[in-house]
Amino acid sequence: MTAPADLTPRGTHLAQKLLFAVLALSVLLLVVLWSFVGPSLSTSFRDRSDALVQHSITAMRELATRHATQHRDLQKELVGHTTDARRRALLDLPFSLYREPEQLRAAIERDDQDRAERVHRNLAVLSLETERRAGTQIQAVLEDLQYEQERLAETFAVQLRTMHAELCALFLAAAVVVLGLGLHRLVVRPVQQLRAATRRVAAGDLATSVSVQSQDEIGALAQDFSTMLQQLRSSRSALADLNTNLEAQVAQKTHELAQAAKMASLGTLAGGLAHEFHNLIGGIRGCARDVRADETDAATQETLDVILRATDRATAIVHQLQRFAKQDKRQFARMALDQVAADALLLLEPEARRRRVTVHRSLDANLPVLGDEDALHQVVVNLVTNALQAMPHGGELRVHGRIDGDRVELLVADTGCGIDAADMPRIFEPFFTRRADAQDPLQRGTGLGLSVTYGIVEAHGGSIAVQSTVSMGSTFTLRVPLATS
Amino acid sequence: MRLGVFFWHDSPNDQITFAGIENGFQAAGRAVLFVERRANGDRARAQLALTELRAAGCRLLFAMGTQAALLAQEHVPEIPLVFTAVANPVASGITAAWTGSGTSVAGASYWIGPATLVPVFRLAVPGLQRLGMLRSETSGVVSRAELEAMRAWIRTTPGTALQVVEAIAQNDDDVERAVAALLQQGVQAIWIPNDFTIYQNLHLVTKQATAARVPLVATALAAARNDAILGATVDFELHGRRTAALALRILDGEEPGALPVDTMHGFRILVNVDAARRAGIEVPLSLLVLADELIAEETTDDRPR
Repeated sequence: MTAPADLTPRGTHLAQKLLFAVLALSVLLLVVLWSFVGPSLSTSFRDRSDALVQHSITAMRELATRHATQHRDLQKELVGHTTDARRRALLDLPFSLYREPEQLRAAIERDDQDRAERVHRNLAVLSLETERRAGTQIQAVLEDLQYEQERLAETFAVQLRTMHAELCALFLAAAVVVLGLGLHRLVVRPVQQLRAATRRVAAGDLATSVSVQSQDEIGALAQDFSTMLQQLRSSRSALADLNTNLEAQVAQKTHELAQAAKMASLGTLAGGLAHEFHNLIGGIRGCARDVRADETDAATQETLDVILRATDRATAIVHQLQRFAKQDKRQFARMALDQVAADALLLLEPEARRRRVTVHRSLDANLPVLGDEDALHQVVVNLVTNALQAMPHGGELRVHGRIDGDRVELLVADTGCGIDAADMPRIFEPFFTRRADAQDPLQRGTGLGLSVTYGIVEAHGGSIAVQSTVSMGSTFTLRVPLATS
Repeated sequence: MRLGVFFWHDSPNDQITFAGIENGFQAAGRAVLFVERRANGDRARAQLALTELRAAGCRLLFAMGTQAALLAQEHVPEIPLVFTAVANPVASGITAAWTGSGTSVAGASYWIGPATLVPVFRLAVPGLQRLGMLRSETSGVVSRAELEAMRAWIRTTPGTALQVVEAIAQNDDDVERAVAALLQQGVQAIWIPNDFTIYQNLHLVTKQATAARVPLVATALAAARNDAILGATVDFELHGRRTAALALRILDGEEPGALPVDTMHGFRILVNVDAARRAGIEVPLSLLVLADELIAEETTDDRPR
């Protein structure tokens, strides 16, 4: 089970990088505004203002000139009209009314005075009227100037708005480009590399790698991906190994099952034979003993003794067959297998010395099992005896006992001649012996030792396995259930 | 010595003219007693007034205005008659000719001919080509004479480029309709003549003309002093003095019928600046300079600041 990846971003955040880019862009824009746009706008506004002032001065000068000319013309007209009006008045004056020159002069003076008063009044009105009209004209000029000023301000405002919009658009475009390039460089390209790597992995290429080196979230993702890839490689290797072991185990189990079936069939056969032979041998032995008891001839007695010994031996074989066939009745009790093994080694030590075999005993204390002590004793004796027989010219015998999980394991290893690979599948079969060529039939053995051992172990719910190399030795491993309290 | 003075109605022209008569007699050092009678526009009262003047033993009768002259001629023909404040005595039927009546009638006219009027009108309305005249049926004797004189001058003078459109109001209540009729004909200015009915209802004329931004030009002094922007008239005080000089000649023994109608050389231009401003019309400055009298009561209130 793999631990979950660390999701905490390492190094600089992606958002920080993009924020830095936008800030840098903003600073650049400010520099452009300060260095180029501002002075340009200022110059434009100053030029327009100067033009407006010049226009105002020109308009005022034109107005003053026009008024001066008009005033001069009006003065001329006024003088001329006054003169003409006096001339006409004199023509209309009723001279006959004035008998004395003094009277006429007085009348003319009175008319002149009246006319002068009217002219004065008219001049006052004319002055007000011209002043009003001049004011109106000045007002019109000022309104024109105000209109020009407002137009200038509006033009400048439009220019500002346009420039503002252009700058905003420029900034947005630059921001989009920067963000786009930044996203492509910081996100899209690494993601594409990750995607390519993912596809390679999906295609089965677990040897691929990701070359993203950034220190942000994408870098962390790439690193996590690499970690995941490494774990995937390990898992696949472990799976391959497991598959291989599984196949071997299946083959082993299949072999063991076949062996067990074969051994079971052999056990059934051997049990049946043993039962039949046991009765026959019992009958033969009874008859032979009865004849022997009545026989007086020494030679016949001798023959009958041979028959009796043969029946004894046959009985022993039958018993062994029954043990292989697990038909003998056993009483299971709690006991220490280390003690059983120690007793068996003690029994066979003389034979070991005779054969110059060095015994290395390593038995953990108190290896509790539930079983038949005599049977297990026979098992150890059989295994050690086989080992000693495999080392006719001496060697080393190792006996180890220990607890392995819920089992007690007893290992008997020799440095003897070993077992041919061709013989390995048959060594637990009844009557199979590798000493068939021995001169002494007794030395050849019955071929029942390992089969009896196998039967006893099976009867205890255990198992026995052998590993052997020719000329190097053999190792028998016995495993029986650990007795619990 | 008693001299009768007969007024048909109290018009400004008549009053000022009478003042000039008084001034003339005073200047000549002739002590006279003026017996004034006023008809107030009523024929019965006029007849009574003339009867009283006859009974007062007046040696000479001044008839103030055209209507007064006609009535005096009719009712007191035995008294030498001096008409004054009359525009066109020939057209009005007061005398047969400008050179003399041949009867006991003599007088003075303040007539200003079209040759003088039209250029003056065009000073106020440059490019004037279509002039409307508003007059009445009831008091339109003088105004009819003015119109006929104008049309005669246009007929006989080439290149005037002027058309006069006439609208006649039957009475006071018909003035607004007549104004509307003129405006409908697209006149550029409305001429207010010496017509009592018209200038007595001048406010009705002004209301419509101002709305249409059509200026009023006048030969009636009363109109010029009120809502017309331009008035072409005479110095009625001088006109009165000239009438006094004419009367003295009769009193000194000359035959009235042999005396030609007295006319004046000069005329006066009145420009009503206030009326022009109210009508939203800007009078050319040259006309203001040429004006003998500028009428402007407002002085400083509306001056631009």
